[in-house]
Amino acid sequence: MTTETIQKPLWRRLVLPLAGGGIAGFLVALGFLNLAEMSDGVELGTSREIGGLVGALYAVTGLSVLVGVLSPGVGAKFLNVEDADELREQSRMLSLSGVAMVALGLALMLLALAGEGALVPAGVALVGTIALVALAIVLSAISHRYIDELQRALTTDAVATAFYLVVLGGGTWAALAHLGYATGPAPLDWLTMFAVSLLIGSFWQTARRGLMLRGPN
Amino acid sequence: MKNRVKHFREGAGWSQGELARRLGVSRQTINAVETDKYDPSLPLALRMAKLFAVAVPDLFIDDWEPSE
Repeated sequence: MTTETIQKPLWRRLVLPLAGGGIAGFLVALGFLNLAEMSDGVELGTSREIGGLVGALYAVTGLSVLVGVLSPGVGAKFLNVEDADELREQSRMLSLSGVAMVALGLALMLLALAGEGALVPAGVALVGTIALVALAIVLSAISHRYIDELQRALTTDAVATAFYLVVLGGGTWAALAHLGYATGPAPLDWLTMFAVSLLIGSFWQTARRGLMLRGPN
Repeated sequence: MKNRVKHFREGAGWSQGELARRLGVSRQTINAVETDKYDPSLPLALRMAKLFAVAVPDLFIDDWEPSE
């Protein structure tokens, strides 16, 4: 018996993930910006807004994975998997990764909403961030027990790509700021750059190996 | 690298999921190997060869030849 899937045209395979991702992203971004407006009339500024939105993107992505694990039939329509069975087979690893991703996203959102005059007091954000990042690290470490060599290779390559992107983007920005040609990156900008570069690295390496849009969705 | 994993798997009457289970990897990995998107590690290649009772060069085809 072989596993053969009937492939739909590219545009039909892209419609649902893009529309779903777009709507979910829009709603979460709207929610975050509304939350930001509750900050005693203090402007969050571009750095915090971008950091918070990237955190929201992580949280939405993690939640999408968890929805896929809870309902594989639905998840197979918008996640990058062969079929619903793949979500069932890898449910343990995906659950751990999904929760870890939500935790990292919430940590970034918490940091973006914290600080002087902002919605979340710095002390609360510190404790919350430590707890969320510790949770993400523990869950990621456990999930590594359930990944195989292809996933391990993808992770290694994605992290390497992320490092190069941070060196290139952050390094150039820092150099320009040092020379007085630009305002230097804020501490939160570095955290946002780490998060964004890891996302780009993951997508880049998955696409480079021809593993994007694998499923019949 | 080109390979004949699909040929041997189908010859054995196994699905990708069945082969993945026997090798202790994900179905995603078997699919990626069969479609030449991923070259497996040496241990996995050896396990595949052992499972199909063939030599590794019968399973994975490399056109490289040593120069004179």
